[in-house]
Amino acid sequence: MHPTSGTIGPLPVVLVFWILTLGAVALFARSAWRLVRLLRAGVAEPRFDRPLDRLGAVVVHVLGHGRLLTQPYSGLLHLFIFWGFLILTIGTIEHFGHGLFPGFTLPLLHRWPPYRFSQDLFNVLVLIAVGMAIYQRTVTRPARLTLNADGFVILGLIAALMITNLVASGARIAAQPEPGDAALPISSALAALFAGLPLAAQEALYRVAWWSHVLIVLGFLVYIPHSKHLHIITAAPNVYFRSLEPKGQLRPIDIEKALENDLPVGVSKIEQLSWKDLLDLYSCTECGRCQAECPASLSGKELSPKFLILDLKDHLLRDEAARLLGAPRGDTDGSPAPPRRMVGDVIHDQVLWDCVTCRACMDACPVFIEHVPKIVDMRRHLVMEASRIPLEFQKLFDNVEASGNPWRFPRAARADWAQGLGIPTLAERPDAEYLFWVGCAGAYDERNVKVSVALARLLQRAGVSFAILGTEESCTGDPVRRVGNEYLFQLQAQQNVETLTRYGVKKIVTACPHCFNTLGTEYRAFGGHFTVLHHTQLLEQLIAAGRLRPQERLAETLTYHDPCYLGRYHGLYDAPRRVLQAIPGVALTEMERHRERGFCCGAGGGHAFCEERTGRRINHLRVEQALAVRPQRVATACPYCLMMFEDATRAKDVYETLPVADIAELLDRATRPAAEASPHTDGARS
Amino acid sequence: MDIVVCIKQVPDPEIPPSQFKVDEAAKRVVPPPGVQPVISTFDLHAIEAALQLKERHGGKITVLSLGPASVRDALKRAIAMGCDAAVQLDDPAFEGGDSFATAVALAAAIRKLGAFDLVLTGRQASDWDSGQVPSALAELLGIPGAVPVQKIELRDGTLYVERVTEDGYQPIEMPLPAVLGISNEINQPRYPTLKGIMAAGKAQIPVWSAADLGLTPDQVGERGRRVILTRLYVPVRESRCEFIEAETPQEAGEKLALRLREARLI
Repeated sequence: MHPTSGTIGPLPVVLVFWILTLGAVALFARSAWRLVRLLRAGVAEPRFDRPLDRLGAVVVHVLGHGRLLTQPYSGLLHLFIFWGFLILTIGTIEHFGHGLFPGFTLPLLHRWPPYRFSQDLFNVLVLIAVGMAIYQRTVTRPARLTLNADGFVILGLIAALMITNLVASGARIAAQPEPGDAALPISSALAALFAGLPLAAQEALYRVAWWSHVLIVLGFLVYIPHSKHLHIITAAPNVYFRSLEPKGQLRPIDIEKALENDLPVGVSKIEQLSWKDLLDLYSCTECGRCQAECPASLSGKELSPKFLILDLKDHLLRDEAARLLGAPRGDTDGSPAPPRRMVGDVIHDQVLWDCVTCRACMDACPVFIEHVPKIVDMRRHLVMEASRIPLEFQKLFDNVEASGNPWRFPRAARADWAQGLGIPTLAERPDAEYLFWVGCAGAYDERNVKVSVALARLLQRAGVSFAILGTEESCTGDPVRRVGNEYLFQLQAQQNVETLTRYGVKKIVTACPHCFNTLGTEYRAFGGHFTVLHHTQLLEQLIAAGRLRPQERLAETLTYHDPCYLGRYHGLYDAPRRVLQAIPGVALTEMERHRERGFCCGAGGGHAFCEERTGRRINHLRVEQALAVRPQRVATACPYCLMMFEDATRAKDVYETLPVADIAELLDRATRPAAEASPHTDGARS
Repeated sequence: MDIVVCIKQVPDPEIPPSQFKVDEAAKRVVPPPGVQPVISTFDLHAIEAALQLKERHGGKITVLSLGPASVRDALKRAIAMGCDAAVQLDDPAFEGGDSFATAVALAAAIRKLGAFDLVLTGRQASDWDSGQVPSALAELLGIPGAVPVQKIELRDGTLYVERVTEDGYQPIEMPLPAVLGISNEINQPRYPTLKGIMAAGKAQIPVWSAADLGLTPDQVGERGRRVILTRLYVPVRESRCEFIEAETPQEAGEKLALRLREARLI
């Protein structure tokens, strides 16, 4: 009994099988080669360093499903299917070997009971997983999944593969038992079912099931490159080639070189993305985890990180493939439709402006797709090449350029907040250990000046030697960079690095996570190498060293809001919480979205300086999330989060009942000398 | 269509009022320290209008500004936005002029530039708000003018413009060349592209003196003034706040309307 014995008309069946197999492999190879050639149309990007780190992530996140398992139900079902594919592929090799070379069996493995058992076991586990997946797609229906035929076609094919495999195996045992079949309990059970059939029927069943199985495998092979299941091939390389750069560092552009050589300074065409960006597009599985975490999507904006990637993929494969591969366009009616512009038609301008650069999408993506850098690259095109810029962002640029801060307060007033507080400038005290980088919000915004004052008092109380730059400080350029004005950012960066270097600054402390990121991470590319601490880090150290002793009780339930540029960008989740817990009486309660899953306040990516006109306001959503855990106060550690929260508590009429404070204000209150303890010196509202 | 745009550099109008100071004795505005002057807002709209006309009809845009070395930044910004050339008018004789004296110098410079189809200015400058220059230019150049303009179209070689009025607009047809004072309703000024900024950095901007324009010192600046400034001061604004008390929003609305009617405001 052999599945490819006999003839069909004049042709030996084995020859037919050879033709089918080679044909499917050829079709697959042709599609795959086309995808590789398209990938090579992207610009170069070095992603070949640190192979061990890269392999490590493949082990954790591909083999181990690290990120997928953060959602246990779909993570587990995918784990079954993934490992099922790996294990069952060995069986598939044996099937094809058997069919192509009659008499072939896998050496060593074929009769090894654990191997045979694994085939039976995973057939069943995958079937269970397919059932779970169908249940998820039809009953629980999470919003992140788009209901489409592709998903069901694939699930159906996978189920058919498992069933045909089991039936073939069962029929074979019924017709022709072998020693060692005891290692196939499921197949043996099926064999018992088929035992009553005549031998010819058992053999026919075997042949039908075997052929169905291999034909589905071949069909799968042809179908994969054209479906979202391309990720089966691209996901592992995409995880391997993921970015190992510091998270908060956007790609710098050599502007002078770009202009001299007439190179783009932003991305407006698909081939201006890097090959890794294009690999990202191939790797998207449409799981929608990005969208389920995206504050823009969740507040009803046009941006969905999932559709951003899918629209780009579609644009690459449908609109641009012919051009990139050098073939003439297929239009025969003589009037080719104008090509769709990538930025504007495929990806609407508003989609790009909707992003708050919070990075939630990137941290949720199981295959490490990088959404935010693509968005900023396309914003760079809108700002520096196309000049299609929302008015509020133009104003932001003009303000930063004219006054070194986003609101156009006079440069001369930058140190007014520090008057009478005994805070020296670096010019007055060049040997200070720390530079206290105040930031625009800390220097000018009435609410955040209170935070600056509280932090300065804490540093004085702990005996830290520090000074400020005073009027020589200027916006780090973070908001303009993230909006896409790389040119203005670089002007600010060069000027600030020059000032900091002139004073020989080594250590910086700041209360602003955006300044913290820019000074510590992004200025390196501009020759600025400083040790930069966020104030929560320094305060934690000062408490641990006993230089700050929180004594005054704050008997309150607090919830802490993770600023994106502190948490997701720098992994600083514990320092702020430890500072809060050092205050006697404080009870911490966590919002549903916290730490790695923290939810942006709505201010990132330049959004502190523009209105939200579509859907709901992100800061309102966040305040509702806070209210849901009934805290007595919200603590945060970012000036923009503070502003966004207070705007939202005012709008929602809970300003009086849900006070919001920076951690420095709470610690200042808790460490003040007993004599000072009166409401008038209380930085935070009580 | 060749266009000349006249722009003025003014103290940043966005600074807080507390920073704005005048020297009453000298009858001069004291420039706030550390604040960069900017292009007057309406003039940005004039530049944008010129750029849009050029995009539609082709031609060359030349920008003129009268003032000290700092106006070169304003002229560079105009080039960065997309204008083709710029000329700075600078001479000690130009100092202390009023709108008319400035218009005399600008008109001479426009003549020196040669043939043109349109002269655009802002409807008024955001420092003195006089709004005299566009009309004076039309008069001095002997061509028609319209201020304030919210729409410009070229229809078969004739100019169609809409003049903003208090309760709407006035459609006007006029021949070319003409002078138009542009109002903010017309467009949204663009932000310069990076290429534009770099082009502006390399641009050569000539400086023309009174002599270059064939003007004598008594025609321009202080000596060419027709307006006499008698006093310069920051007015004290008084405001009074009155609360309308009511049980319901409806009632509050009615009371507010009555109160406004009493005050003859509606």
